[in-house]
Amino acid sequence: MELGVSISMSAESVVEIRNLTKIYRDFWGRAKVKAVNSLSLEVKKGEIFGLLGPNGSGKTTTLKMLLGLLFPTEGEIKILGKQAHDVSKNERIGYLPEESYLYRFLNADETLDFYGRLFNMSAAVRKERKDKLIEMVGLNYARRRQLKEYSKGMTRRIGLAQALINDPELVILDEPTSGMDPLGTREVKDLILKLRDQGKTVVMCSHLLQDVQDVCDRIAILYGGELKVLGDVKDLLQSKGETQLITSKLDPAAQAEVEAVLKKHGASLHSSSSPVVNLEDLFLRTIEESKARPGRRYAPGETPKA
Amino acid sequence: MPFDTNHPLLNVILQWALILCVISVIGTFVGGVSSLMGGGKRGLSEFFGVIGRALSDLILVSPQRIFALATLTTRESVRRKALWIGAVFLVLFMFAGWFIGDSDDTTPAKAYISFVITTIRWMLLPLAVLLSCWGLPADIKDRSLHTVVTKPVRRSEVVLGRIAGYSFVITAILLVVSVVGYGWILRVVPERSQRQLISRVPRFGGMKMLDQNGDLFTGVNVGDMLDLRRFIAGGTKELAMWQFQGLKESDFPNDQDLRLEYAFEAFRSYKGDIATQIEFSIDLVNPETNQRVRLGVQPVNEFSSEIAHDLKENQTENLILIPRTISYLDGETTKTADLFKDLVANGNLNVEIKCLDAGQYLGVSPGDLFVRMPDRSFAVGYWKTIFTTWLMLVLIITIGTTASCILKGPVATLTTFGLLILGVFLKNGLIMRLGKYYSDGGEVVGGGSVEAFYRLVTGLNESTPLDESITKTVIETLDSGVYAMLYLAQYVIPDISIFDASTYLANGFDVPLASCVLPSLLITLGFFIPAYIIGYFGLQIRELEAK
Repeated sequence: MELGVSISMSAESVVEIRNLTKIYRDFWGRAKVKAVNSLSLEVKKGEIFGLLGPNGSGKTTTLKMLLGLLFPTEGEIKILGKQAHDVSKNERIGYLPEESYLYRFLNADETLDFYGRLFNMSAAVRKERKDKLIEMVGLNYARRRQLKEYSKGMTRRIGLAQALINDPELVILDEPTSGMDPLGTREVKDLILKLRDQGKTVVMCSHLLQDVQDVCDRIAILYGGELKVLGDVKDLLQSKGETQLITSKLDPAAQAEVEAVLKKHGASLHSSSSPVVNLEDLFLRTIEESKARPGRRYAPGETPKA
Repeated sequence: MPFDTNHPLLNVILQWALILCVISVIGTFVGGVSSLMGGGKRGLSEFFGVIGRALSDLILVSPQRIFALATLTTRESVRRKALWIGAVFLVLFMFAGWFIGDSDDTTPAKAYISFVITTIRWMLLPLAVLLSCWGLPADIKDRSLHTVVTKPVRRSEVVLGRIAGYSFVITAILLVVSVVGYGWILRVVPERSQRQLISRVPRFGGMKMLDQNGDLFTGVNVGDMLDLRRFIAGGTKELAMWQFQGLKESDFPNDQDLRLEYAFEAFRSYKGDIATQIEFSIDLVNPETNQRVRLGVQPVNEFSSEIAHDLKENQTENLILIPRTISYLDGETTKTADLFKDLVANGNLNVEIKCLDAGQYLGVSPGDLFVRMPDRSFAVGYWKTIFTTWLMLVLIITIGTTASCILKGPVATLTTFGLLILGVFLKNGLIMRLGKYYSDGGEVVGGGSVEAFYRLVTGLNESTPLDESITKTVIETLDSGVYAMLYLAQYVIPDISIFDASTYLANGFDVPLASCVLPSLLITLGFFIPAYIIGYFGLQIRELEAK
């Protein structure tokens, strides 16, 4: 049920939300929790949009309202130009839920075949799509195993594959890297970027901030069901009053000269240290080195290879 | 065991359509008014938007998606060990022979047939309820349904897919156990009784009784309250006349005999010679020309309970064979008459029965005499019985799935079982008793349910009338309300005993299309459509993710 002002989508908007409110009520109809409060935002075509927030901030509730799994108490949603309750919109949407809610007695092949049938795909198209997706998520070795035998990471992978079975225009991912090892996480992030490069729009929610920072073009931060921050990731993270220079290693004399130059221009050196790679990069580099040189211990301090 | 239906097919369908339309109109009106009050013009527009979407969702379903969901449901049921029920049947059939059947029994086939059909019905019924009531709630609880409905799947397709999937599982199990049951019956029925495995096809006629003056009368009551038969006095002009219609020569090809089968009862007002049967005469009468042919005299066969068989040796055991050309005595002259040319007029034939033993009585009821059309094989009746059982199971699956769209598994199970039990009770007893209370103008001792409760609490005995007071008015009004609800309920809740065709089969009759198979089919279809709509709305208005 939509109430409030009707919205017209701009040509570039894939998702448009206006004054969205969701109140959970108890058996007697009394308001229990206001999960989302007057949320308005827009997701543009071809961008990766991140919904951030602590537990209970309303990000999953918002996604579920987008998908018609929950009904808004107030406000209006337009998704791919259609109302949230219009099932035909799902033809162009791929959704990965927070937990991969799949049928555990099916194997990967059967799972993708089943979801492919729900899109009325022909047998030939289904076969082509599932072969490609199983290959893409790296589950070829386990495609005949029932999902109940899968690890959490494997289940997320097949969940991701089912979300892409219809080659969707809009991909909605709820905690896409949850339960995945760093290698899988990187693969998923690469895949998300690849989807954007193919012109698809991605809406994801996560509380793994590094993941969001790595892939998202724009983010919204929710707290207590309300929108607190909305904007481009680069703009939001950029410290506008500072300049960062990364050089090759300087000896103390050279560093003193740099400081003198900075002083001459009325600036000061806030900090100086060797650049630090993040833990994910270190982990991935270690795995790569271990594959390349089995039996040898990797020394993290070494200059990274080009 | 009714063979004739009093409800013309078209009337039944029109009545059903009328009820559905009335309920739809009332529902739309109530929904529209509520929406208008709650949300004004916008609410009303939303309401009609929902109705419009519902119509398209209910009609524009995708067979491929339904098939996919049905296949998934089947896999899920198999995973839940639903097929194990087949093993239970095998065990039952392995040992049942030890406990069923009596070497002295004249109709042993009846016991075996009843056992097989009853076992199939009562083992598959709970399976159908449990499968259909637990699948969808488990799917919602595990949230696997959430992934499904984020695809372009209409909720109507989920309902249809579930019903189709469970029906497929039940059909597969039913087929297997029915084939095993059929083979088992053929194997265990003794050689001497194998001829009881037939499907007789009766053609009944209307019956009337005429007294000594040739006037209509209701027959003599000999004091047997439970017996449906009425009696005609022997050695008098009293007679029972059956009027058969629709007899065609083409129904008896190759000059087959026309067979009359009877099951009369003798009532002896004095013992007489117990070794000699009470006898009756049979006259065939042309209803238009009144040409009359006396076929002869037959014994009542007071102590025979076996199904009549045409042994081709003579006219035996409650079976009268009437040849195409009949020789009869007209005074001193022997004449011949052609059955279809001289006696059957436009398909109509009258048969008159008179009791010949003075002082004794012959008990007759409309079903006691029928034209036995060419028999069908036992397999025909057996598979018709299985078909009605299948229809019953599909109906139960439909109700169970609908309940599970709205309620959680345990509640849906209790609701479905409750409805099935209530349906049988409502038809068989409760409504009849309450109906009697009201048709008797409330003069039945003790009153209705509310009045009975009042009497219980106040210690008032059941024969003392209530004082004329406001209390009495309130009680009677409440009783009327209870009765009205129950009266309505008997038409809303299906009576699954209608689907039981085993009585026909066990008694050696074919299962009649008009009074058993067709009503079963119509009931299943009649409930399927509203249940499908309710199930759809149950899922559609439900927030699957609601906390």
